[in-house]
Amino acid sequence: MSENKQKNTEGAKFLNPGQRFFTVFLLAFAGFFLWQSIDILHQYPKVSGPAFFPLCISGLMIFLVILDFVKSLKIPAIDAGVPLGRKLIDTFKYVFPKESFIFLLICIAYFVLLVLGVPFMIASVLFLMGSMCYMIPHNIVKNAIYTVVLLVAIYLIFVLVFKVSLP
Amino acid sequence: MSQSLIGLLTPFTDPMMLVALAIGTCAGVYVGAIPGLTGTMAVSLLVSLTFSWRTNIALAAMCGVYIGAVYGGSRSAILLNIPGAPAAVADVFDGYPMALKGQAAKAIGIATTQSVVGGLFGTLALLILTPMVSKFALNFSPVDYFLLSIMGILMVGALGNGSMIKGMIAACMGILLGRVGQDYAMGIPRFTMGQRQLLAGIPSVVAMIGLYGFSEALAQVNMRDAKIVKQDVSRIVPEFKVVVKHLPLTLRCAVIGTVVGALPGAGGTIASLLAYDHARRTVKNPEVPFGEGAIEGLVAPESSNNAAVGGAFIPMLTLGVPGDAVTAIIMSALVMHGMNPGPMLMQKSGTLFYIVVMLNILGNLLLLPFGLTGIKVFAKFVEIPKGRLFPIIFMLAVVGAYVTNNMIAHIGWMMLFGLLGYILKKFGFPASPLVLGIVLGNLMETNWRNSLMSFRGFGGVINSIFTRPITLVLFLVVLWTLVKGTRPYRWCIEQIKGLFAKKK
Repeated sequence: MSENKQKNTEGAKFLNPGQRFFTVFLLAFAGFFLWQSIDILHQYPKVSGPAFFPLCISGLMIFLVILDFVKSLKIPAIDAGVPLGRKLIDTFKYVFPKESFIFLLICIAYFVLLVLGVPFMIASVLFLMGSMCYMIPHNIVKNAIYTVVLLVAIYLIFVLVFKVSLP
Repeated sequence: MSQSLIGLLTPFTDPMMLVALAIGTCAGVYVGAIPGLTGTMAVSLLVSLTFSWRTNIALAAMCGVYIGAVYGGSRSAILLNIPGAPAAVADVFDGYPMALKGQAAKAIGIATTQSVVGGLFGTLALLILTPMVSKFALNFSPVDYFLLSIMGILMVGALGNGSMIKGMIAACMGILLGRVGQDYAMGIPRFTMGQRQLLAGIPSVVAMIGLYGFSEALAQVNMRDAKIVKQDVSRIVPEFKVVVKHLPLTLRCAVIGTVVGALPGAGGTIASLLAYDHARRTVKNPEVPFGEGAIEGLVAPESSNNAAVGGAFIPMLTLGVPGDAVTAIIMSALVMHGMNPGPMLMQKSGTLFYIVVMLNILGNLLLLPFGLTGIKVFAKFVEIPKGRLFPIIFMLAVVGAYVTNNMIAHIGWMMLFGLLGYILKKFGFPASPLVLGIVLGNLMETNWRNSLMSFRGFGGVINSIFTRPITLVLFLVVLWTLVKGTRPYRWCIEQIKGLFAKKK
């Protein structure tokens, strides 16, 4: 990530894969707020009403995104001339390298376990052991020690001392 | 004996007060350092605990926790890149890069000493300037608060190392996300897409945990095999000359912290961001560039957020208007104990004011032993292999997000914001302006609308800029911040410099 970022911010040689897609996302984001603000403005058409401020900010955001896009036109895209399907794959690979993607999936699985009502301690043991063993597979005993120590510390601090309920 | 002397000496005559203060400060440091546990939360838990205690002892414990927690937030910011408390948000910019270079102990050491200096300065201001500053803060109109928040937003260019436009886009995004939920004045749902869960709005603390904790873990997972940086903890206490060297900046930032802390609702978060921005503008040749581990980038926010503690007490004790969330809780605790903070406090129970002053002085001094010890244990955090550290960070983020409101949905929010921050970083957009937008957006909108109502429309607001000196000064500062980066401004400055050079 940092290499690509350096290329853009310092060297300004190529746009990252997906940079233009991200511009579209930003425009859609600001456009949604603008559209909703206009909708509210019809009902409460006062400058001091609930719509005017977000309307101004979303308008400003659209202006800035376009300005950023125009500036970026001077920089050639790293994936120029590549078919759209390939561009999408490259963008995904750039945004989510294998390690980040797998870690994200493990985190989502942990969240799903908590949503399904699995007790925090059990879900956390599974998450910590799973993610640690994925990243450091050669030292399972140490991973287990870290897991136990951390969970005991969390239980002591949050539950016993601060009387905070855990998920 | 005068009221002031009695008040100032009271903590020394009551050993239980000193014990409560010491335990409170020590606990505050560690509470502040744990992501998800904030000083606000700890003090609010203390209120119910200290209800049956004597007023002075309860006050000592609460002051200790408050001071300790504001400082403690810097530890996790430095070591884990997660601000332990909102006021430590600016500490991550240079504190964490220092830890990545193996200078965690140095960072914590300098953060401690400058926090103490800043905190003592704020307390001194509390003692001397109370009537003056509170009168000044009372004169702030909604337009002034609006301009102050614009100033905060305009700082985004300075917060990131990249483009000002990208920073502003992220700030706009934060402001808009902060608008989701029920409108504060009319109760109209905005941008909720009909979802009732969104009526309460987006929890800002949860967003912060995600944007700093989870996104950083996701971004760095690729570097899990990177060599572990050994932290140099041989010298924790910073050299005297280093402390003295940064003293002018510390004092300047302490002034910022005290003044901003005294503005009701502003608090240590804005103070630390403004101080960081001030350091970036005024320190011309730092040894290490800002954002890459500049000591000045740590000195500024740390001295100002601790100075803001003293500042926050000023309007609470003299006007009955709390400076921030923690002083609001302390105020309610004092009311529970039969005290009545406000203009009559000095007349009716003047000793209480001086007790608070002495507790602040002692609390800040206690930060030295508590802040400069236990660093070796804390520094071990960053020596944990990344493959183990990132799951730990994520789990702490999960717990932190959950305990803010005991809602599983908040964990989802945290993850969404973490993902958003991660993707923004991937495309060169800084996450800090997004956080600033969420935090300041509310202040901006509220005061914008209040301005229009109190000055009877847009014309009245414009008129107030030229009729009120405070507003005019703030407006000029905003204007200068806007134009100073532009080519015409630089051209004018060069022409003026050229003219002076010719005359010489």
